[in-house]
Amino acid sequence: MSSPTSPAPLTDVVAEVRVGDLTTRYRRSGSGRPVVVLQPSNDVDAGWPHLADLLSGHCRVIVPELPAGVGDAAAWLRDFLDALGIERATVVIPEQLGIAALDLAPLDTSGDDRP
Amino acid sequence: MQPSESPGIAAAAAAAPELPVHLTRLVGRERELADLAHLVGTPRLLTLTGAGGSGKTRLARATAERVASSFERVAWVDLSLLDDAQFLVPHVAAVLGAPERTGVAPLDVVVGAIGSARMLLVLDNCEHVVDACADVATSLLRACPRLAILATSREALAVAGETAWLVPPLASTDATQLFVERAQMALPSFTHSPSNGPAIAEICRRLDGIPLAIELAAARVRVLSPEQIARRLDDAFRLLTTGTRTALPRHRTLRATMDWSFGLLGVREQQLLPRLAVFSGSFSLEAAEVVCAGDPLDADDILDGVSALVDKSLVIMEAGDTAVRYRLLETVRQYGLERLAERGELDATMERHTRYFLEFVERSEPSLIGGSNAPDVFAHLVTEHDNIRAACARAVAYAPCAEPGLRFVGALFWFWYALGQFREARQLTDRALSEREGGDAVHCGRALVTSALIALAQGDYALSSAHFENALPLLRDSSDDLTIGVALAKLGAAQLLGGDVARAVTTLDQALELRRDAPRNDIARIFARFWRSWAAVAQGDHALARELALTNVQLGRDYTLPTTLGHSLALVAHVELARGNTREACEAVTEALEIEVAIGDGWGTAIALDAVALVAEQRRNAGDAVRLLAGIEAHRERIAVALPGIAPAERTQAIERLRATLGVRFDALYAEGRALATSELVSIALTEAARHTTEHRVVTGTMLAARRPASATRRIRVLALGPLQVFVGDEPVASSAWSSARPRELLVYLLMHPEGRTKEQVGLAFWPDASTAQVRNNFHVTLHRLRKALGDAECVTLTGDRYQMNAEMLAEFDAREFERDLAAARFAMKRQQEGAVEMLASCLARYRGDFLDGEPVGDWHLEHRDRLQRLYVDSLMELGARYAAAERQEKAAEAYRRVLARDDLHEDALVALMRCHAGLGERSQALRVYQRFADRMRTELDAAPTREATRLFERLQQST
Repeated sequence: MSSPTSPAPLTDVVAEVRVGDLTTRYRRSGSGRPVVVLQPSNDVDAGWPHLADLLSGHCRVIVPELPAGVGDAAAWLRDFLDALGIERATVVIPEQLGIAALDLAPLDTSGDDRP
Repeated sequence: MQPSESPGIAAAAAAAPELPVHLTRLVGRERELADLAHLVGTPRLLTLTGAGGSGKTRLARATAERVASSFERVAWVDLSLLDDAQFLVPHVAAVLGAPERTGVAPLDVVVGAIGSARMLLVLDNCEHVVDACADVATSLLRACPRLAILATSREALAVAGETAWLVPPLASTDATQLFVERAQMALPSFTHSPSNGPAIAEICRRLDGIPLAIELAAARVRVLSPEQIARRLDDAFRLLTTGTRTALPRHRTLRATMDWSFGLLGVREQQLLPRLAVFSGSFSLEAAEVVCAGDPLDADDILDGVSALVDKSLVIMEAGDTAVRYRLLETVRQYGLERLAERGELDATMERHTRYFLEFVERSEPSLIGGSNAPDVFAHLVTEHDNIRAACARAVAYAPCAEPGLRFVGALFWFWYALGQFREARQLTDRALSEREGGDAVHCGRALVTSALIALAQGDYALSSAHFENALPLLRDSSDDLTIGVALAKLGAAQLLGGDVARAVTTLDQALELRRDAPRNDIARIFARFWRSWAAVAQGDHALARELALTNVQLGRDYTLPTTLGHSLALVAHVELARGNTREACEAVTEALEIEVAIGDGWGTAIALDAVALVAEQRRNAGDAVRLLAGIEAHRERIAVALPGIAPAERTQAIERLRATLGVRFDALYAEGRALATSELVSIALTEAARHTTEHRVVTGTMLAARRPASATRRIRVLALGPLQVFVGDEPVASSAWSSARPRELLVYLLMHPEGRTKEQVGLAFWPDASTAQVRNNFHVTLHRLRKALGDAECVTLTGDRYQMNAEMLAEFDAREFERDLAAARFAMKRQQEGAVEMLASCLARYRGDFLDGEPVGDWHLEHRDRLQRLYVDSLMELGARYAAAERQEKAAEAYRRVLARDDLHEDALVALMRCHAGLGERSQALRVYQRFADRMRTELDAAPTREATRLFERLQQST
């Protein structure tokens, strides 16, 4: 699965999530509190391997692939996390994506993070 | 392990992998179902995710049901009660009916049970053991190439290849429909109207289309109108939402709805609901009255409280076989536990739960030592299995005090044995014993006895003896001679099997001495005598062995102790074999096998099969001898009891001789034998045993084919209209030849289905509640008996997977011929053919009574009975009408009387009969017939005859 260009391939697994007709592939590595990393380049194999690798020592790193044709990225992300059953997560968003203003209020209204 | 239920087989029966039953129908979800049915198996791991109450389980069940036909097997594993991830795999194995095997990792047992079958495994409620589920799913999918898994979990398993599928909210029309349906359950007069429509839509939107939340809200319509519910929800939720958002994340919507619903409960119900959450699985009212009573609730309040909670959809009522049981939805249970903890009542309530089930187990234990003699006690324990398991695990882990844990494991051995759950038994017992500091000596002693018995069952005789020897001094101070007697008897068994015959004899004699004055049917005495007889075989004292074994046989008969009887008969067979009496051995073993199969005793079956294997070897039936010896070995592994058959040394020698005789063929036969199912082994053994008894000579298929003369066929006659009669040649088959009514029933059932029936179809008609394993066993025993009773194995043939009665051997079957001839006669009548009336009359004469009248047969026969009766009655009416039209009133009256004899409320026959009598000038007869009819109508139906009959009656009366 891992592209030959990525120096330190994300370990663990590739799986997918379906919400309605929309399928989102993602990579997962590490364990601990969930960190969702959105990537500049929309390819789970080529994304921010370095950052993800760094984080996966301490966290459960989830790197989704933004499916084509998603209009409301906030709703997509909310559904994606709902489908994984993740109630609270830290979300890392690259500037290039231009969705820094994601309305993520529902993700952090519940107070403190899970251990 | 002498008298006891079989392990393994009982386990499979207790946990039949049926889909869970939901009392209310699934509303909406058509689109989702179509999508899921299409998806299942494509990603081999499909996980339905979503917040609690979103309907994951419901949807998984409907999906499993829809796709079931494209799988060879569907197994449903409910994980909601699994507290400890280490029991996940054993739990899956138990649901699959794959019993533990000593020395085999549980995961391998599960992999072995699934193999390459195209199977759908549903893992329901994975969230609290999500990591363990992820590991298991990964391993199983790798090892079982055609397995598909459907999981439900709040959290995705997040393993490679998984598709997590978010259960969407209900579509708004479906949500409305759900609200209305549930509201009508609470208030039957509730309707969806233009005036309440907007409020209902608002509620459903507010509740994010979460099914459970909608149900909880709808359950309130008895007290609140939809408008009021909508307003109150609005108030309740406003506090929880922040900023500009009006919606809550889904998991919080449900939580808020539960808070709201809980807040509306009365004070007593608010006390009760959280306490009910301590039950695992379902619970009885009696248990709730003990466990949940306490400030401010009296035991008498519990019924009202539970009923009120049922009304509000917070508790689910399950109508069981005998008594009603109750259950909390998992989401509600979790909520209740949180509330209970907040209130600081968790520990006290848990303790009451533990104590209640401890006392229940201790009360039941004495009846279980006798094993299958108390099936109702065992069934009751199985019903409470989830609660017992939870209470026992809690007691064993309870640090402050060793007592409850020791008492639990001390009382549970025979239940574990019946379920074949030795791994769990070993873990809990060791844990309880490791914390026994300060435990009472007697409690420690009993727990050690359990430990020793587990070791004995698993074939570790040294450990078993050591634990018995540690236990006995601790028990000396108690006055419990029964436990001491059982311990001594089993210590003797451990010593004997461990090879120390002399010590075993001393111990067993000590046990017999201790219980000398106990009642004859004392189980410790029966155990001790059984093993003393076995020891006598080892010593070569056949006379003593025989005497002791026969005493137990007699006790088994006198006190109706099937396990004792079966085991002792198998023992008699071995003793007779040692004395060179093949015929007596075979007679005893035939009876033993029939009993063992009937009660599903795996160990008893094994020792009986052992005896036949030795017979076959001695009588030079080398092929079957190898198949049996190999099959017994595999069967023993399946039941997970290492305890050997009576003479392990003889077995080894027999195998060596057979290997020498058969040479290269040995290995293939051995492999073939190992692959046989237990029921197939039993069939082979019964055939072999029958060969050496004078009573029934069973002819094998090949011999039969070679010598069956054509003239000998067509000699079976079956008369089923009226009391059943079966003839072979001119001789009626004696009732004693059948052993029970079931083989006769099978005969008629197969005759009614000339196209043949599969084992499964027979199972559904005959043993609808039995597990697949039981059906297989029962079927083969019944078939064996049928063939034996008819004296010819060829009377039932197998084509593909269908069993058929051999039409070539059938001379007459009245029910079929009746239908066929009747159709021909009525056709002739219609065409006004000559002699048609006589043909019909002679046809009807065959009807001696209702189909299978007086036979104890299953419901399958009812439709045939009714159809045949209707045919008979309709034809008689037709015949009567013909006679009446031909002015043959006597004959017509006769026909109508026969109708009334069959169906005494048949109005048309009454009117026609009255007319006949009137026509014959028998006015008073006609009036009497009417009077009698009117009386029956009144007493049976509380009704009066029709106007037509009454008018006729009045006319006849006036014509005086």
